[in-house]
Amino acid sequence: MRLAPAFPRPAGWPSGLHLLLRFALGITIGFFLHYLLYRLSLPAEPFIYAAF
Amino acid sequence: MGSGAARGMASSRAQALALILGTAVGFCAAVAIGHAVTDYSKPSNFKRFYPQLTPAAGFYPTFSMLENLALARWKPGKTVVIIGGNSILNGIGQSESELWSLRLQDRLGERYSVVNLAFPGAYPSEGGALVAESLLRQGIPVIYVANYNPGPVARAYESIYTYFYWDAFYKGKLLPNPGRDVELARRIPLLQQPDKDKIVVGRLDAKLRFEELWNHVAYRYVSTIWNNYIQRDSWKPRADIPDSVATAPPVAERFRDNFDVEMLTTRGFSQTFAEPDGTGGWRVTQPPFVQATEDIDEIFVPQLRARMLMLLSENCPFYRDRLTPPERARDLFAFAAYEKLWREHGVACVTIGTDFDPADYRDRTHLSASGGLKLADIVADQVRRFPVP
Repeated sequence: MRLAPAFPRPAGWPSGLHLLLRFALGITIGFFLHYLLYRLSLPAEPFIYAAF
Repeated sequence: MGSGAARGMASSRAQALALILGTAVGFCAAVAIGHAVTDYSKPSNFKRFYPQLTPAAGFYPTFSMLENLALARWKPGKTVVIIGGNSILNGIGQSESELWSLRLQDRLGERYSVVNLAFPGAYPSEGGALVAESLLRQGIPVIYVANYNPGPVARAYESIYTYFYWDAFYKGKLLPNPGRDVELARRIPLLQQPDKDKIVVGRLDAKLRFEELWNHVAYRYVSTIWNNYIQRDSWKPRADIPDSVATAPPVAERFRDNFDVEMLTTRGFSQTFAEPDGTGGWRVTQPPFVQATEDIDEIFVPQLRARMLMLLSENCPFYRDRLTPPERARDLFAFAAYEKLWREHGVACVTIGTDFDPADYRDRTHLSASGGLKLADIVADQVRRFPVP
């Protein structure tokens, strides 16, 4: 016997897995944007003090 | 519109929503982790910021890293001795095991905790000074040791490691200093564009902590910036790159290179700061001396000046001994005049190197292991003179 889902998916709504994958991709993009801020904050010119 | 098309649109909308929500969650999570690492991120088994841990190697330690290093060594009843200044105090010329700041810790014993926050090329107003200010703000006993030469002092926001200043400033770490604020407001419009950019970065990072998080990642896990100085080590976590500063070569090999250039530098060392007084003696050259007078008061808050030891670094006697008598007399006069100036502004000040031997130097300015031992003795003696809070 097949049970009805507890939260029926509306017509045309993507599967949970699809949504989860999109959400995970979004998290990756969020971290990447944060990383991008770090990269953009680095000086364009290399740091040239090197009296070692 | 058919029901299939409507279903497709609803599906796309739901997926877009999940993507946007995920992006927001991911970004906020990165910010939250950045805030968390701010409280604990610091180099392990730390002895100094050797070249691979500096901006010259594409690594930008944050102000919090420096502060965490100092805080980790403090316990109630102890005084933190923060070493700032440049490559001389960083210990270039001494291998890790020879490092003068380790000898200083040995001499001072357990009542003091020494942390070497000096960076190559840094001014006394940078890195370590800002950390000392932050610790004083928290009521932690501090003695700040820095070095310089006779002359005006550069401001932390106009120097090499400018980013430390804005990092500390926007995170609310500095003591109130109305004089500095007034001068800052006057000077900001005059800053070069790269220095103005650092103001924006400092302001953003106080909220978003991207510098904190990704510098922590670069130290612990993987570095993502190619750097010509360290080449293939660029991708390594900085924690995996050891301190490879070499011990000084044998004395006979130390002063061969660039003799003419180093001699020229030694001859001109005090030229800008002292001039003949017309009676066979010397007097201070006014513009730089007046500038230095104003700078000290403005840059270093009174609380810090009262807990600060300034070391004026003499050149190696290998070069110094080749000066003409008037050149040497001018040097001695300039060192004495600026030493007095620092003292008049409430800063303990001594000249180092006057009685050192050529073997105590690795080159014109940097000290060898034996020079480091002498420096540790001088500094330990001076540090003990500060009242214990």
